[in-house]
Amino acid sequence: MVATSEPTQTRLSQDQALSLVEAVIQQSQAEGVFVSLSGGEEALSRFSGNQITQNISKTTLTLTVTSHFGCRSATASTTDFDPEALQATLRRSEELAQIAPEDPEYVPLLEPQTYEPHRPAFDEATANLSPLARGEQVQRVTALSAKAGVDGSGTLSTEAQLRALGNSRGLRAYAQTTTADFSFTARTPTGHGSSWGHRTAFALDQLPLSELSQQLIERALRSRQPRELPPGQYPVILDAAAFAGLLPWVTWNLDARAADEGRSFLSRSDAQGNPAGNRVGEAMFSPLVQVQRDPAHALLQLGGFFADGLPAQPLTFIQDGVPQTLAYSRYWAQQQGVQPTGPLSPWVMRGSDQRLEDLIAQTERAILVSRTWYVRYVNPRSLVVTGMTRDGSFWVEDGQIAYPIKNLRFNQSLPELLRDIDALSCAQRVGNGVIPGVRARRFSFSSVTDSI
Amino acid sequence: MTPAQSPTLTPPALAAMPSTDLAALAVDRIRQAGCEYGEIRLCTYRSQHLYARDRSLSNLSDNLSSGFGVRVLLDGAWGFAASHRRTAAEIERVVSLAVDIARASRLSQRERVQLVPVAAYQDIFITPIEIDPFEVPIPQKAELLLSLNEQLLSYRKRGIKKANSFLSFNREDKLFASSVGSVIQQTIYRSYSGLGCTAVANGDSQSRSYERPPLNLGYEHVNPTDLLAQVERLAEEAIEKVHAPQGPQGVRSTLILQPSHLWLTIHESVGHPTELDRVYGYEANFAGTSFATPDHLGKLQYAAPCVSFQANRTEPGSRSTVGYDDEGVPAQDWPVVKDGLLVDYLTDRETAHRLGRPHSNGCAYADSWSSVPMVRIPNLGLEPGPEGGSHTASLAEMIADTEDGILIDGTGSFSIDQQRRNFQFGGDAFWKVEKGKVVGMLKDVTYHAMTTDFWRSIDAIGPASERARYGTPMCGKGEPIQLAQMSHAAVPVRVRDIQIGGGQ
Repeated sequence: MVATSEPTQTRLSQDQALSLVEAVIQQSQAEGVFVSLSGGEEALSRFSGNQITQNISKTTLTLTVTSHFGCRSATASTTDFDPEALQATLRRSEELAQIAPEDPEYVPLLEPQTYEPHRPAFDEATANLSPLARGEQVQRVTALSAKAGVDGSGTLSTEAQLRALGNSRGLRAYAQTTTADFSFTARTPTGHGSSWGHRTAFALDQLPLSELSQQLIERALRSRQPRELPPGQYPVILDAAAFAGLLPWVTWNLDARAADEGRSFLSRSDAQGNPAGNRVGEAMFSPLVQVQRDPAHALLQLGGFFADGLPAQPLTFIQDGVPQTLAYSRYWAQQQGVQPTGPLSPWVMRGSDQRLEDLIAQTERAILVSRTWYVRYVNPRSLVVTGMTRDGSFWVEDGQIAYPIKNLRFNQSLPELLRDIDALSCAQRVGNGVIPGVRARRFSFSSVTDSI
Repeated sequence: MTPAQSPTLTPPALAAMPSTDLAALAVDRIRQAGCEYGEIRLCTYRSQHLYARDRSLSNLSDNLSSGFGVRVLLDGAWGFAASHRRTAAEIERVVSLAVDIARASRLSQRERVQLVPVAAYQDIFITPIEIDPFEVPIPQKAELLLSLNEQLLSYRKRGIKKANSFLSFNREDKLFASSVGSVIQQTIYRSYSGLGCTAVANGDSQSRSYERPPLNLGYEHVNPTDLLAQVERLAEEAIEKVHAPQGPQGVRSTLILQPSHLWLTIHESVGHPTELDRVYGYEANFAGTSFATPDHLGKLQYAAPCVSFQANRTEPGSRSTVGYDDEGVPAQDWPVVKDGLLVDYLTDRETAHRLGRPHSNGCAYADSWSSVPMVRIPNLGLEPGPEGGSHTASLAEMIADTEDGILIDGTGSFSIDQQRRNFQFGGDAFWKVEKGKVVGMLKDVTYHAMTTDFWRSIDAIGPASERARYGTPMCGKGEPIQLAQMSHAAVPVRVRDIQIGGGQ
């Protein structure tokens, strides 16, 4: 039986979490074992029609065990921390691992790692926010939208999360973080105007709830009675939140193995069209494009390791428009004789010191996009995607927003979008990324919709 | 309304804890707090996944997730709290927290939430299965996947560079108890399997895949013989596809769509627009709203008169089939689009009340013990053409009758606007049809249409003999996002005059 007492408090300290991990490791009968503990408390208020429609709080904790026998491994997890349940989980992973086939892509357990010294941000006030205090914050936002005569919808959430992990080679890691997240949609009563915004921070008091809500209410009112522009190629200004719907499709596709095997926009082909390495070092994008991994970024302050224990060290993936490296898993790095990097997460794209309004003021003509929606691959090999604009699109002319326009479908090559960027606004945090607004010389819109 | 028939099977053991006692304690505390309504779901989910990439079984996992969620309605305001700790003390804490949360919801309350009535049920429902997927030995499952991949990779010299295959099984044990007086125990089994491969050539890569769709069945649904029988066809088609010409751009064409493709078009353009919570704006900040507003009910010509869509949660084996939804409402079946006309919605108890309906049609679903129930698409299928109907035609007859068109199988790219008008779909495989014959593959085909224009343009619909069930185990909606699961049965259809290509 696993010699540990069931955790009864909601939040575990570093010592408590790692003691639990240690206890499970000690009870392992496998040749090697990896144990992780993740969970915490999450609360979210959701509102629509200027009132709360869903209001939740959940306490979760999951223990995951991967047992190893030679090149065989298997995983089991549980949310039940009763000692018998933990024991059963450990035994289940061992039994599965013993009968698993040998894995030709097996990599040994990580040895102890050195992590960046930064401490992830944990804000007690955010972690301890009461339902009443959260309800009051939402009440202030819905009062603003009700006063303006618009229909306010959105979410306000806070969470405190922990991750602890260890293995039988002595690896140990722990991080505890807080996150506060606010998104808001303002719709005009007739349903013909809409706007949306989204902000994330590690502390609730860093979210500009009222200021952002007021801006979005004004933008929704400005988006009424949109005109129809014919589909085609236009210069475009993407608000940071809109660009945040597109850039992750690039960062997800920086995988070295896919590039080397000929399955990626970063694949290089020989004269016969066969895979011939990747495009690292090639000037593919605008010199303004710089993307790096930086969990210690001032707006993020996240944990410094991945789920397998690999350090999430600061690393520049794209510098001055040139890919510097790709994301190497431990297996593929071993095959290629390089160091593993882990994925490009959390990503930080360099911005400028200009506001989005400054970009608009410097623009002769462009479509301003507030939000991108339902983005999906059209061609994963060339990284062409389709999607919609929503919640407020505008025509910019002679440095000003001229009038609202109907929303459009786009079919756009993302490598070409990054190539055509000619201006950036300041970067802000959206979700677990940091991203600027961008202006690009051309963007392909293919059809129009009456949807707002 | 057709209540589901509960099979007379022995109830399975839930977790070792006295769940019914915990449920009774929760309901007692909910009543003591003065709530007009409250419920608890105590759940244990077991999920087993095997995924093979090339010659590596890169994922073998067997996971258990258990806990409970309490939802209360206090003075017309909702509160919900959940915890993984299934103890009496934690029940007390979580009920109290849910009540506090409901009080906080009241701060911004403008209209009281009201629910349509539901009867009290004491019942047991268990998915009928033939072979418990968790009893099948792991080596047998692993060997199947690695064998599939090995056979796919035997086409390596001809261009197949990647192979993948998977098996996925779930068992959900739920105990639902409510202040209405219901105590309902359900056990849901789910099975899903498939394989795929990627050909790399000509500076391009193209994939082909096949699945035994996600259904509520046991291991009998996996059918290794059928999976192995697909290998040669998939490999050959992936090779042909990577060498095929690009699909046309900027033309209008006739489409012939297989059920393996059409299910997703149904899901996006009929399922989501008729979720009544979307219609009322509950999803305005995320998943979106809907063009199909209640003023259209009974009036909107959604589709051609030969087209009807039927919702149900009662068909054995379908992915959303249950005895009761997550508000304790019995599973039902009902028309949503009848002879082309919009006639109903997908509701829970709250939205049904707003619409003025006497009861919910049972679409509440929560994807975890830690998630709150919300309106989700049930099984929603395209009704086959009647035998001898003027628009009824088999797939072969549709092809033979088409001068110039494109035949599509499987799913690929998919995107639709937030009010569900403007959509664009791709597919997994495309063939050009000329003068009544399939003449060769195309690649990178997409089509674009407006929802009602598309469904009104159907001029041929397959018979019942060609009905097939597909669907998804991961339909995302809600904040925090929840993944629902449902089937979409369909027959082949022919659609005229559809825009091809997205212009990039």
